[in-house]
Amino acid sequence: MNPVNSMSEDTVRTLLADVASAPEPPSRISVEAARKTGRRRRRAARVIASGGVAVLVVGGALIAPHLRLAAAPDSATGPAAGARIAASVTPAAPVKPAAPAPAPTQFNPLELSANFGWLPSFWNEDGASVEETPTFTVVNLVDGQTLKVSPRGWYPDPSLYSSTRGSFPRAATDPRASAVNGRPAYWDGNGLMWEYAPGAWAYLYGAGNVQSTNGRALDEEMASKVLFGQHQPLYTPFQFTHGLPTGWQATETDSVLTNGRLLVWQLEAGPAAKPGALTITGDTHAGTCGVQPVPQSWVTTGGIRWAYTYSTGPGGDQAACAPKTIDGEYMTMYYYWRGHAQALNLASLVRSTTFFGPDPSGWTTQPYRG
Amino acid sequence: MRASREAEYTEYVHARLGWLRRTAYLLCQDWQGADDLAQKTITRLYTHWGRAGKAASLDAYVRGILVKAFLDERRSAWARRVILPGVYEERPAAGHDADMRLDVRAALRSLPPRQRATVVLRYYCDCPVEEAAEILGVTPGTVKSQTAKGLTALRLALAPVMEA
Repeated sequence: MNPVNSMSEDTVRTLLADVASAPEPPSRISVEAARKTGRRRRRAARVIASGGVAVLVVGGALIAPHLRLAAAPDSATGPAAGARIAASVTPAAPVKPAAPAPAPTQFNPLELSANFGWLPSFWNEDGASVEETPTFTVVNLVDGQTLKVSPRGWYPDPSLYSSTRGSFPRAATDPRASAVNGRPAYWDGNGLMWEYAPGAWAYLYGAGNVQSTNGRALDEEMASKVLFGQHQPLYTPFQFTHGLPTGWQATETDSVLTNGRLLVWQLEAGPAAKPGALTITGDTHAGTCGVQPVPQSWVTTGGIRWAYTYSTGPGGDQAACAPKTIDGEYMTMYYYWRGHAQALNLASLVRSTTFFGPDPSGWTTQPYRG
Repeated sequence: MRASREAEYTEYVHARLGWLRRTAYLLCQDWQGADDLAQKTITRLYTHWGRAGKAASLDAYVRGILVKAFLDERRSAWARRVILPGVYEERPAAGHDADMRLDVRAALRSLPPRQRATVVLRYYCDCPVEEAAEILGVTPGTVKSQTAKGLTALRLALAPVMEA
């Protein structure tokens, strides 16, 4: 019998099942990372859909095609094309870099502190999601490449969206990379970690570049051109016109880049003792009005009736949400500081919030006064 | 996403991750790529969790995301330009079964991506022709012809092994 014809469909099933049951190495899959990225991409997709072509203005310079790889034609295919990329990102003759400006000891969450200064032609910043806190900045491209920067005295935690005090501890053990602008750099298994200014670290990761020579060359090129010391403003669709309690400040913003502007969709604020006490979020999806149990009261402002609930007794949680959209977004405010005397009345905050409409050109860079 | 839906998503993904990873492995033929593909799939699933809940079969919906992600990856500029070597050590067990597995993998790898996806959908996932057609965005006739071509290629590649 001809074996070519004798291999039945059932045999194919058995063979495939056997291959699929091969011993598995430990998984690198992270459900938490999927949730985090998924949340960001939902935002990005929504903003891209409602926006247009984005060109980011950073410190007066455009991240535009002239900054992108010139030697990577769209028709490039196969390893040879990869080699062309590697060739095109080979640095010019080494020049002694100027000493970097000292990094700040903390970032302002209402500004973009650092950003890509150069991207290869097959990536762009349209729809990039940005997270800003006093201790780190994250710029996450839709394609997965991520830049995470910490201020002086901190380094970006490679496994979490956070920073840790001190210097990158694995610098002693991780493979040393080529210096980035004359400063020490390391490959940590997922990306490139480098000290961009004395005592201040940045991390580039997420697209798997570290796994190949060409990819590593690309990372080195991107790292060498990252822009630090930026003060690009973020735009919010609302403003707390009566300000925030004394001593409170913005502690985290989440925004999406569209039409050259970083548009905030979530803001956290609080005092030093409880940095994330207050969160205000806009979501295009209904069902985020998670006020449970039944609202204890309602707050009507601007023609919108907000559901409002609060914990009984001294201190505790408060939540308010708009069951109808405001300028296309379902707004929710949470105040969590259980066990602490309430420093903020959420109902009053809702009443004193101004919304600027769906057009981002009318949004503000000052989400609260005072 | 509401907390209850987050919990549903997490529970589903944890329960089906093994299956998803093995299917991805059949498509990619390496664990590094399989993990990347599975990660991409569960991320996309998160963004479409509401829609997924309305699908007649959640598994079928996820299978669709997985295969489309696989084919997209093969089409994307990045995949064309940069070939990422695997970081996992391939450590097959010794013996006849392991040899056979390597041969089958080599045979699968030799199939063009769409043909490989068709074979995996039809013979590993046991998808009916119509479902495979919907996932791949082709007609049922194309699925049948791709299946036939894939099977023939596998038979040819494995004939010497099967004879031995």
